[in-house]
Amino acid sequence: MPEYRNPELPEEVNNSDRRPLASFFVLSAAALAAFGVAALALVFFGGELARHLPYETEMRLIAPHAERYPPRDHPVERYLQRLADRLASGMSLPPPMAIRVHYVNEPVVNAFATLGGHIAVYRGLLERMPDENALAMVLAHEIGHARHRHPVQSLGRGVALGAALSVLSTGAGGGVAEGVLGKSGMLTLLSFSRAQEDEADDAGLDGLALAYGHAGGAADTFRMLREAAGARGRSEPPVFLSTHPLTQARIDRIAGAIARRGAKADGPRTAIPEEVRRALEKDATQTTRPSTRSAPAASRIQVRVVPNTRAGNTLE
Amino acid sequence: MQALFENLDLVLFAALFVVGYFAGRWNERRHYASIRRREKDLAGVLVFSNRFPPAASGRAATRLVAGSAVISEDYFKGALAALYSIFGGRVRSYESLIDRARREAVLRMKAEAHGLGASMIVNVKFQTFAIGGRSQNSVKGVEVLAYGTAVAPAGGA
Repeated sequence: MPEYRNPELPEEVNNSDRRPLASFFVLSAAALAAFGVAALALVFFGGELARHLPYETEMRLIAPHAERYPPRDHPVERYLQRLADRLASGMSLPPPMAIRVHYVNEPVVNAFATLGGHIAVYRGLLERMPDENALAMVLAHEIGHARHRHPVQSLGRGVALGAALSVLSTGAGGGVAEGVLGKSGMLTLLSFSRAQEDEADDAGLDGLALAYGHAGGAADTFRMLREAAGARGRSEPPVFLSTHPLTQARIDRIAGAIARRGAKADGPRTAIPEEVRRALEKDATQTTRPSTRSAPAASRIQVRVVPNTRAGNTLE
Repeated sequence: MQALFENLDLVLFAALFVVGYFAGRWNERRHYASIRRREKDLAGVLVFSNRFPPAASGRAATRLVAGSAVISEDYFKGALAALYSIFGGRVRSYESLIDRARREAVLRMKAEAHGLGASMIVNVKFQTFAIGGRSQNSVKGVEVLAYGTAVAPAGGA
């Protein structure tokens, strides 16, 4: 049949897949960008919504963890609690909120606020405090975080981010969500934004000025901590510096805030009671004596016991 | 090492992606080369969609011939198709699957007809069937079945 022929068809009509890898990267970049915007929105709303979580719910969340740290009859903890109560009384906390201070007998230079008005202060930080006013600034700053409900906001952001990431990868997203909701991460890994830090600084200044009649010690606290880091050189700066740089800008900001409030910049300082100093020294000698015998092992154990305080955000 | 295990799903995805891309490309190139060669070899067997052979062909023996081919996607094509399913447009990564399956099915049908001594197949029809893809992560494949009536000179079939 010479009159019939099947023509050869052009290849490109039915198969146009010429540069699949390029199209893959263009499309996945677009998808990732869209996902990033959605995740940012989730994280933002997660934080905003968490702020409206009833305080009773926050207390219920933290209750199983708080039970493991009952109030101790320790002179340092009693002193810290008294000081915090005095500061908090002037900081207009919302009615059901109560501040509970925990003293942690570890040489880490650290302090943090977490859910349910719980604040932890480490021995390392207390030892460096020149007077009560400087210590009061640290406490008032952490109370400021609690007063503005920053911990629960941070928790909400973390959970939202974990949920968003688990869409991409169950491993990574679950890890983040677990880290935030997990036993230890929940207490110490809450991170705060720069704006929240400023808010806590402001609230802290108000509390400090009201309790002592002047804001002496506020700027000192941050300057002293920075110098302490400088003196130690490059060998392991205090924890809070790695996560929260003490810039000159922050010190200037605090000085400006004091001036704006019309508070007196300085005044008579109060000393840390001798009884508290002695208790700190006793704790220091008791815990360092065994470590001189086997220093590497002891320091390694210490890192393992509080893994999150080293990585976590402190004095923020 | 621990990070590797914690993100096992991402690592697995990356590995399947790379294997899928290179193995898929290599297989497809080889298959197309084979398709083009055999299409030239079997160009003598004509294919018609008409129900009956041209009137001039005279007395003939007829017989049903069929060819079927199943082509699977690879992981890369699947990932790319998932992206197309977000943004719409031609699912270009699946076009070559259908194209290869259709041409392979026709070639197998033609080879069968050629073995019967036929030089044309009339009333050619196609059917496709999607394989897999019922669960979200299963690899998808496509079957194309081509069948028609082989027309051979009388006594040949």
